[in-house]
Amino acid sequence: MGFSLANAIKREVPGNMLPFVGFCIALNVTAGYLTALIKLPLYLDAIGTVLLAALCGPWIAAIAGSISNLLFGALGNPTMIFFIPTMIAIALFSSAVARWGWFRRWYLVVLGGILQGVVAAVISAPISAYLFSGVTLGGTDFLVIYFRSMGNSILDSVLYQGLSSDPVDKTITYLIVFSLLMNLPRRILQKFPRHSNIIRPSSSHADAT
Amino acid sequence: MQRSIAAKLSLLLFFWVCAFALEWNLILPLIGILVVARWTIPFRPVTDRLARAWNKFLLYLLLLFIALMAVNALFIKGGAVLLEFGPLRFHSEGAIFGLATAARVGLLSLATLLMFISTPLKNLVKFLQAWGLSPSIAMVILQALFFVQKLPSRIDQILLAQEARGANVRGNVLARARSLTALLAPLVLSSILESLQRGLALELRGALHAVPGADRERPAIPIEAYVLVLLAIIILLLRFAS
Repeated sequence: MGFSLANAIKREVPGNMLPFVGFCIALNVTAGYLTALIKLPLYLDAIGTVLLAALCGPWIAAIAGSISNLLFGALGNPTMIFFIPTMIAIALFSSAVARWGWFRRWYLVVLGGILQGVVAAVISAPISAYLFSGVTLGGTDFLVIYFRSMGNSILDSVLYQGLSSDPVDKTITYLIVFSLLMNLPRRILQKFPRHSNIIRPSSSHADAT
Repeated sequence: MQRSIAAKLSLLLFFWVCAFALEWNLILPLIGILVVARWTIPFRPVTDRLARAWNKFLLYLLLLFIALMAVNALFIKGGAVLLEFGPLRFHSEGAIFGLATAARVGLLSLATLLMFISTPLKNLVKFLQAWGLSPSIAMVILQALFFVQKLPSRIDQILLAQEARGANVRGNVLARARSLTALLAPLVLSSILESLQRGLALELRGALHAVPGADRERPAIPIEAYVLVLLAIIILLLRFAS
């Protein structure tokens, strides 16, 4: 029997979890607002995607990530639509990381975040280079200019910029998700299909309630 | 309403094809048309907030044009020197490359933004459902819109509450980073609980088993939509032929 995306999603999210998926999308979108509000030099636009990938699975996280970027586009920043492939890669990779049990230990979370940053940088570099020539008026543009001034091509400069800033951003994203997961009461965690990614059956995860 | 959504989607496709297939000197007039179109009835923003977002984006786009032209003129050496500031030389070849890139991004972005600011997302979702969008995906998008509208006010409430308790939420970068943790935990945990409760409530009402788009008739596609798609195909064919 062939792979069906619709069936994979049905397996990952029972009907009553759909509002949670909607919340994760809103969390991605609102993170832009949030970081702008407190003026932090970060993106943090994949917290909802990573949370969903860890608790539900890769396919619904990929769809939620894609819808997030479409909503970003609809709500004021159309350039985000072109970074949907990056969001899909984040969903697939973070789901694998969760499956390996890396969201149970903080040092593995840090390692996962760094690797995720490298993956995101490699995928977003060609998009940023070919569509925007590496200049997107973000806080990291000066890094692209710096690498270009050293004689690198646009693609190389954008890649080096991504490799120097994305791992930091994604590590922080992973640590935030880890902190949220550790603070979720066990009875709530157990409602999610992939709760075993976070808690072992015999673990003594404290119930906050 | 639905008729115009089909036409708008075709127009969006047409502009996207133009952005990739046409040269920058043909794209610039199209950008001018889009800037003016925002004042016409079919493309008027549906809310004041979206009108402000449009104006802000035009400013962003202007900066993008300047930045792309300046940076590329500085680093891509070729053609005549347009400007010289001490050791910095701005070359014409780089400036044109920057202009072409900015024109492409500008057309793609403006066409997308104009489509979305003039079309309520709920109407777009209903339209897509009539054309076969899965009810689950439609439900997810509508729930996302609910939370997108709700979260900013909740963030303001939590920040105000943390500030009232003495937390430094508007200090230096470190203080703001610390306040992020104090903000995210209550925000996310309360919203997760709310989303689960909403899911339960929707399930109890049978909303998750209904097929909302099933009784909706497929809207007729207006003739201008076909014309625009045809034009887009012709432009693509001409591009490949040349």
